[in-house]
Order: sequence, then C-alpha cells, then structure tokens
Amino acid sequence: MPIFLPIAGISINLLLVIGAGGLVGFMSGMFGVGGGFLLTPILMMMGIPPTVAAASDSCQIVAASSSGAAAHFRLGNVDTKLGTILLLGGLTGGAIGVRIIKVLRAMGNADFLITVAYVVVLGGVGGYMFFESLNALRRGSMVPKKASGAKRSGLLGRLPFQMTFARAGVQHSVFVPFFLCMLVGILAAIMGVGGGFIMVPMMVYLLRMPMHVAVGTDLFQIFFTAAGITFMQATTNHTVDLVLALLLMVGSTVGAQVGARVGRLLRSDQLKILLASIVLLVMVRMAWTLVATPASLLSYAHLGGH
Amino acid sequence: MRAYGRFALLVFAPAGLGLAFAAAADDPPRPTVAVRPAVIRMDAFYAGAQVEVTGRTPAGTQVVMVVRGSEKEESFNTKGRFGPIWANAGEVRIGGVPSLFLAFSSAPFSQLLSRDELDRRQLDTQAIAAQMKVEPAARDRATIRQNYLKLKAGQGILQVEEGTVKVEEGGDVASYAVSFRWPKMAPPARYTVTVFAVRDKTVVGEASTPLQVETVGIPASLAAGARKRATLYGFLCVLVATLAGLGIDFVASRMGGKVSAH
Repeated sequence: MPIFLPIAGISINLLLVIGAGGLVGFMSGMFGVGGGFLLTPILMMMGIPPTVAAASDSCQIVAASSSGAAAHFRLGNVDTKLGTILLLGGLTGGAIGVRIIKVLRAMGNADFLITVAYVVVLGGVGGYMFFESLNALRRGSMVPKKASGAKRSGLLGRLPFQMTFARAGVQHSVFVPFFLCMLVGILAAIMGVGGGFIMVPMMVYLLRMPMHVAVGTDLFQIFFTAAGITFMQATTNHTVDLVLALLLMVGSTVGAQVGARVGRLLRSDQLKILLASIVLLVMVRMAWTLVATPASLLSYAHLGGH
Repeated sequence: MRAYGRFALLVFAPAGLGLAFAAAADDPPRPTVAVRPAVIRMDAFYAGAQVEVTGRTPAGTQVVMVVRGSEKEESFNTKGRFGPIWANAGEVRIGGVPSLFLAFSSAPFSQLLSRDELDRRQLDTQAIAAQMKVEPAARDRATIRQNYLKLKAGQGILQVEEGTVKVEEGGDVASYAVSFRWPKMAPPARYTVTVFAVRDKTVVGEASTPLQVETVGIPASLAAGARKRATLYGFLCVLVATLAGLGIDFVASRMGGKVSAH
C-alpha cells in the first residue's frame, strides 16, 4: 500500500516503513540503543533523501524511547537522578564534539581518523563485553550479577560530590558519570550517530550498573536528546517528515514494547552478549567501509545525526 | 482620399493574405507537444504516475523529447583512496546541472544529432557532464562527474532512453508518442517538456510545455506548515512522538497485565 511522504516528496510502501520501524524499536527496547545507525541507512536505501531520513529518524526515536523508557520506568529500571546527570554530560559532550569536528575537518582528513578511532572503540568495548559475557555464561551463573553498591575505593572514591544512585545501586562522584557521558557525547557528535552503543556498556562496566537499569536509564536520556534534535532539525532544516516519523513510530513503539519484554526474559549476561554481538557487527561494517571500494565516490554532505 | 483607401484595402489585403498562406505552405509545420497529465498531483496516497507525451512534427523528422528541471547546486563528500583505505577526501559543490533530466528519442542520439548540437542544446548525459560545475576544482573532476551521473541515474532522476519515442508518418506531418513512469524521487516542482524535431543531424523545430508536479491535500498542508510555522511544527513533532510512545506503552501495559520489577 503506497503512501506519500510530504517532506521527503516521494511515495513509499506503508508496510515497508512500519517493518523497518519495528525492527529498530525492538532493538531500542531490548538494548537501550537509539537505532539511528541502522534506520537512517535503511531509509536511504528506500529512496528517502538523507537529510529527511536522519531528521525523521530522530523524531521516531522520541516515540520509541518514550515508550521504552516508560516500560522500563514501570519495571523500576530507570535511575532518573543518574539519567539527568548523564543527559547533562551527553549534551555538554555533544556541544564540545560539534566544535572539535569543525577543527578536525579544517585540519584535513579527520573523518578517516575518527572512523578508525570508532572502530577501535567499538571493537574494544564489544570484544570485552562479548568475551566477559561468554565466560559468565560458560560458568553457568544463573543469578544475574547485582551491582556492587559499594563505595569505590582509590582515586574515584576520593572525588568530591559523592552521590548514591538508589535505582542503579551504585555510589559515584557526580563528576564520574558526567565526564564519562561527556566523552560519549563527544564521540556521538563527531560520528553523527547516537551514543547508545557506547553508553550502555560504559554504564555497565565503568559505573557498575545492572544491565537492565543501564538500558532503562539510557532510554530516559535518549528521549530528551532525540526531542532536542528533532525540534532543532524541524526549525532549522525543515527536514522532519511527520508522516514518515508517524509510520516509523507505529512500528518502533510496538517493537520497543516487545523488545523490553523479550529483554526481561533474558539474563543480564545474555543481553550483554547480544548487544556485544551487534556492537561487533557494527564495528566490522565500519571497518569494511574503510577498505571496500565504495559503490559511489560521492555521498550527500550535511547528513546530521542522532 | 477615403475612396482610394477603400480601393487599396480591397486590392492589397487579399494579395497579402495570399502571400502569407503561400509562405506558410512552404514552411514545414511547427512541432506540437501535449503532456498527459499536465499536472501530477501528489496526495496522501500518491503512488507515482504514468506520463504520456504526444504531438506532431514535420514529416520525415525524428524526435527527441527532454524533461528538464531547474538548475540546482548540491554538496557532496568525496571519497579517496589512502593506501588500502577509503576515506573522505573533502567536500565538493556540484552545480550547473538540472535537478531532473529525462531524455527520450526515436533513434540513437549519435544517429540523430551532431556532437555540437547535442552539447549546445544539452540533450544527453555527456553534454550535462560537460556543463557540470565542480567546486573547489578537483584533480579528478572527470571521476566526480561520472559518479554524480551514476548517483542520479540510480535515483531515476537522470535517464536517457533511446528508441522509445514512436513516430508515425501521415502525409505532411508525423505524429509521435512516448510514455514513461514519472520518477518517484522527483520532487514537486515545475518541469519543462521540450520536443525537438530533427532532420539531417540538425534541429528543425522545437516546442515546449510545462509539467507541474505538486502536492495537494494533507501532504501539501504539512509541507507548508513545516516551512512557514517551523517552531509550531517542531513542537508538534515532539509532542506527537511523545504521546504516541506513551500511548503505546499505556496500551501495552494494559494488555500485558502487571509486570514485576527486576
């Protein structure tokens, strides 16, 4: 069944768009990732102009993340206090990242260095998660690991403004999640993709949060980030296609619910190994784009991102 | 004086008309062009359109038909090879090319027109590439042009189809017809359909008509709202998305029953 997209200016199959939204929503609900890295290229393959694909994708992420975050909130998986600090850190990092990318681009072939850095980061995070979770599964630990909850010793433990995050079951200086998230925000802004892939592993391994709470809290902060981007894209570039976003929302919100529920059926280690596999797949895809001859030597500039 | 005037009118007017008709009879008839539909309306359930171009040309001529959009400049990232690795090699602006170019002919272009004529009238992809402006001037400009044409051909907004115009001779004039699917990626705009009558590798006549592509109904209102009331539109997008997400969550929680926390 065809439907016309007013901002994209093309006609497209309704079920195809809803299906694509469903796939990404499922991942969002399950792993707490935005899915922009996956959906924008899919929409472009369908013939939607890149700028419209990226902006409309942000709009559907607002719906998917609000749906997923609400589901996780009811399950007690959202630490709003920590989420707010992460959000502030991410926004700060995003603003810094935008400036850094300008400087790097002015210096020359920055995109290449950034892609290599991203491949290394994703490879490191994904590889560590994968093998750590695989070992845990092999050991047959049936009980999900609880967060340590203990106050950190050493340098991190001596930092000022220590705060207890009850839902996450951890205690950190405010600076720790803020600066870690700021680093993720910088990377996300530079690469033009969301930070979910790095944010969730970072919360699990560096902030010692339980996987489910990391996913719920990440969705909470993604909601605000995506809402901000959508509003800015609509007012600055006029590229948000509400019809396209609504169709994606139908798929993604349902997919997010299913994802959140399927996620509940899995243990933390199983979720981690699945997320690690996807992170590694993305890493391999990015590494492949570095060496494979591209289909076209031209790609549209000024794509925007999540 | 008035009588002389009437006399002159009676004598010279028929003579003038006769001369005019005689001259018209010597000139080949001018080509005509008609497009159906003349306006493509994109409503909420628009699924593309079949366009038919018909008309007449002087007897013994071949036909070239071109649909052209206004000129447009776009920015692209270019990729270059650095050792074994492909990486972005900078940004280029490409202009001097039509936003849409569809060319159809009754025979291969090389048989119909000389290279000079094709270039002068911008009737094939080689001519389009030659007019293309690439800034900043790159060393591999030819490769960039080639990739641009490939990209646009892939989107269906740059097409050249030879031998698809059907011409039927019928006395002093020939009739022609060509039918094609309007490209899905072509944005709403005013396009120009031009028909060239060709004989002995030269254009002997041409005719043009506009083809309007426009959005109507809800898509038109949304597109206008997005441009004219961007702040309200942006706020609406966020609000609708949030409510949709929360609404689905509400429905799902009711359907799925009470769930326990981890």
